[in-house]
Amino acid sequence: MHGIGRILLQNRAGVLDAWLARLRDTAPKAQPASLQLLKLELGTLVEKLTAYFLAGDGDGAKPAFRSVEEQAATISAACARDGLTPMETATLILSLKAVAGELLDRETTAKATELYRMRTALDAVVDKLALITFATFVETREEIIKRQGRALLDLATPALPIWRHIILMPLVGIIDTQRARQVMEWLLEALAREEAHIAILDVTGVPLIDSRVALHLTKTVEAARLLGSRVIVTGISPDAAQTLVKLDVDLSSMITRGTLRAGLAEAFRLLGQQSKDTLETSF
Amino acid sequence: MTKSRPPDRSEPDPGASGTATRAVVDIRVQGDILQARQASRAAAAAIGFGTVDQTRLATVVSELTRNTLTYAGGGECRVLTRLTAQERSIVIEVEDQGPGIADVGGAMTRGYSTGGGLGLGLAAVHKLMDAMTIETRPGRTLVRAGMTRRR
Amino acid sequence: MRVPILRLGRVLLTSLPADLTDQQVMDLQIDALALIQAGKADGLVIDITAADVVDSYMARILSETAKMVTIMGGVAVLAGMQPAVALTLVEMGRGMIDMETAFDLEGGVAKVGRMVAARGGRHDEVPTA
Repeated sequence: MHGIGRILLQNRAGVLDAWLARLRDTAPKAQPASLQLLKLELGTLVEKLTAYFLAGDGDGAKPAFRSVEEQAATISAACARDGLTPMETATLILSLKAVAGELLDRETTAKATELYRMRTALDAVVDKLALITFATFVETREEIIKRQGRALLDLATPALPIWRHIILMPLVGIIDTQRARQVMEWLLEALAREEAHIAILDVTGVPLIDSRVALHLTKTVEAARLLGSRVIVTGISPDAAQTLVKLDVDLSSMITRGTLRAGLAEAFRLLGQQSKDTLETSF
Repeated sequence: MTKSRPPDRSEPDPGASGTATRAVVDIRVQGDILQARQASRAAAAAIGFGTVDQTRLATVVSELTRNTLTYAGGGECRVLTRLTAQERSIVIEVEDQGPGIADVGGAMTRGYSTGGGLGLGLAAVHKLMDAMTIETRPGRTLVRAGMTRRR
Repeated sequence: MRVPILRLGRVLLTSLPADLTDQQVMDLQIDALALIQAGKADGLVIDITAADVVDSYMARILSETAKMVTIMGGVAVLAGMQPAVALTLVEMGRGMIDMETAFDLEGGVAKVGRMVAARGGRHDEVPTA
């Protein structure tokens, strides 16, 4: 163990250069900017690895190895964020075996058995690092996916005041329960804020309308009614219409129109009816 | 003692760290219902629940405390909150020494009522909250309802 | 304290305070029905802009009041519900509020006017033509 440490300590620069040279073959797509950063991170890893081997088998080894692990995790997370594939990332760490192995072959004067022992120790450490790297890589990716999912959810669906007393809310993307709830809140708040009597909810951009989405639409219409407003749903596709009828979803409480244009015409008709009635009635 | 439903996975555990008892309101007269409502709203606002969730909670408190006043002549309403790095949660507990709920399953179903109410209360509470448990026997009834949101 | 009911022409107007006890809601129902019976109005607008909670009890009393007013020949409209209250009511179940609604007090008065006109006009006038 100590032997590896000494050799690494004397040849740190060489190991790093050889490693980076291999890297150019394994991850040719990596950006130059991230390569620079990677060089720094890998340099730190080599240093920490050296410190670990120098610490030997004693009490100092454990914290030293933890420090190596942390550095490997940092590198892996950076690779995941930079868009490297899992294979590229694993290859990057595993290639240290070959680089450091060559170095040991070249530098050691010890007997074959001693060299074999040193290489086995080195391989074991690198294998362990590769596993940590992979776990971290997956974790980081999952975190990114989760964050993107949340960002998509938070993507504000705008409620546009397109006329006096009329707002338009175009829905785009997949509507799950959580998003449907959010859309409902936004629509009702917009109705109150804009003093709108009519909301046009355009679902042209919603790829899938099933009974669950329909249920949320029905609830939205009912909640809007409680506010004293009407909701016109536009842009229901033939696919959606077929699904809704086959699922026997009751949409009778809802005003629906095929196109946004027809929806807008209906909105104006409703508004006109309201104001005409109001004018005719004197109290 | 009957337990109507197993606790949902999302049910907050009030015994865990970061838990605070925000309010304890004695329910004896109609005005206490309003006080419990305000206390729950304030507690929900204090740990960052939005307006709609605050309204859901205040409505739930209104239903549960009215039940306790109507069927048990009064009880106690407790509001507990828990805030962790990942989520915020609030638990409403309403406990009384009344005769208990004879048919919990029936009480959960729309339309059931023995005390002049509409019987919608418990079913509505269950719809508004993420988790709900009912422990009841003659002499003691405890209804717990929890709401949890990701931060 | 009883919630005051105002009269504007042939319409009764009342605005519920934020914190309303069950007893106050019942009193309001009794007072409104008495005024309708006295022939002082054709319609009732209940403004709930200030109410931040409408639970199943209050929803039931309001809906029942509207039905009673209708039976007595009048019309009733609920006005100014907060978005959060509307959402909560819808989540609690179907048809919690079974009555006509309007956006605000002004819209409520207009709606009462439309409903009375549709039903054949004011009660205190002899139909012309």
